[in-house]
Amino acid sequence: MKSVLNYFQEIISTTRAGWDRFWFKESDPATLSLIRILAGGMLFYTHAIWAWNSNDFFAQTSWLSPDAVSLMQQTGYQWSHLWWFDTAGSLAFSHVAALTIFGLLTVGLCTRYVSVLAFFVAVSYAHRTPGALFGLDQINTLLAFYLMLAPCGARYSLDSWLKNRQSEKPQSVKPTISANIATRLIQVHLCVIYLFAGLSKLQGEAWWNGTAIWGGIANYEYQSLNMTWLADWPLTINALTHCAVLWEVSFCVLIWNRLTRPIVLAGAVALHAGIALCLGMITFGTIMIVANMSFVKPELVRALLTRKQPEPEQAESNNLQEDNNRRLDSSKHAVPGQKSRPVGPKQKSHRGYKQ
Amino acid sequence: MIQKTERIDSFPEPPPQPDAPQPSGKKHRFARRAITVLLLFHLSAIIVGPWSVAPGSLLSLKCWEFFRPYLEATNLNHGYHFFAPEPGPSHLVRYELQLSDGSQVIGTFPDKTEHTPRLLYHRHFMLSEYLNTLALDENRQELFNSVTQSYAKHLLEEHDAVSATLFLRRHYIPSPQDVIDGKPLNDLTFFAERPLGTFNRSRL
Repeated sequence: MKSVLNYFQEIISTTRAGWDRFWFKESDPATLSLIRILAGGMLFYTHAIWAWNSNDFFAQTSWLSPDAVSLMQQTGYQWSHLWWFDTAGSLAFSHVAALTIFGLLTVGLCTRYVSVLAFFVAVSYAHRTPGALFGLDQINTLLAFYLMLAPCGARYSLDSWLKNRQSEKPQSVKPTISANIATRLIQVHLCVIYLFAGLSKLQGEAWWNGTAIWGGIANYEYQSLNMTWLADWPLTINALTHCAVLWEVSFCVLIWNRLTRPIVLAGAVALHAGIALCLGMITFGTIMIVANMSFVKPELVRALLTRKQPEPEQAESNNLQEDNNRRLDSSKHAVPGQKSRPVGPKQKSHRGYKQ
Repeated sequence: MIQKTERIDSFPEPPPQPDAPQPSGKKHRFARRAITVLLLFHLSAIIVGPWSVAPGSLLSLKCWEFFRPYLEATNLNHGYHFFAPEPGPSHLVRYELQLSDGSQVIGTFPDKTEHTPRLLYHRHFMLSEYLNTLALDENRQELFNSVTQSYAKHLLEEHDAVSATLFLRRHYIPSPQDVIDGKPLNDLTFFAERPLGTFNRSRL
């Protein structure tokens, strides 16, 4: 009986520790900042298209009239500020305001405020046009939701540029728990999306008999790149179909393993680039790849996007190390005239030790 | 040797592991618990959304009723059933408009040549697909009629027409053998139509 109790106690304690490690670790906001730029750009483009065709989608005589939409949304939870804007002038004002918000989010100016506004505006537009939405809008609002929870303007933004300009020393970007939570939420949400996308396919015969991919590439309304030559390659169609389902169903497991993650992410790029190029959903394919970037480590993002300039914290550490070297040089063990050694990666790993 | 021992003894405590949660006081512990509750609520909600899509169990539907206000207000109420259960035929709306000068305008939406860029085309494609979803659902006939009328009204306004006759067009997917035999994807034999009615401007 005691061993059974111990077993459950161990489960609870390890789950608790794992939960804390997963959610409450501090993380650099580099990845989120990159996602902010790309998702902000997509939000801007999406709403620019809405604005350009305002009469078709937001006027009283739009495709979906206010009466029809109110019949769709009887629960009343799907709010939209656009119901207050029923003239051409007021709608134009709303579009300009929305595009300004998304533009500011993209360049990262007043990011703390515009990220919150961006989410509410994106949801508001989606609630006004329920019959014209697709996967792009789902991921747009999902990313806007998680970006507003974190300091997504901490890097690669006008905010950070202005902050550095105003102070004499370059400001360091501190890792935060909120950056980690927002990144984790995007990651977990993607797992949910792919799991249910895969499971729902298992209800269909075409995904079992391996012909489902043909249904996509031979669909004239979707087609943007002619891939019907695959009609002569039935086994290839079968393989692509099975791989797509297998990849979607296994994503939520294999993405967490360090070794399989690059393969899973390469699969994500291949699948969504295929959707973008062959099925004409360039926006949807792109935004899904952007969402998958949440699995890219901030260190890698920084290595790719930041010029080789040490962070202030790192510079301080380097200076400290140089001081130590100088001290060693002047000690009795030092060879007279020998210069301080440059700071190598091995020495950097000692950063944080108190002297 | 003695020097070595001294140096080892003088080593300070190792820094905390980067993965380990930071030590926290009472205030922090309370904040973490509050965030944990919010996270559990949110994670449950985003799972219940796609889980409760038809055919859902009674349990999933009960959960959906609980999370519905949150999911609908945040626009996270999605099933994520992309191309499921399987990629089916696509649907278009064909229209015949009677103008006041007696002339006729015939068109279809979505239209790859008229609706550019591609995102705008896709918006129109979703409008016609949405109408088909409603047409198949016997419980939503009132909404189906309302949306059909709304489409007709928009076309009448846009073209300043007197009347509009609408058809829901189904475009079946050709088999690989059809393509090998040389049939184009938009061959007329792959289409079927269902009349949606004639709508007069004066009555709408």
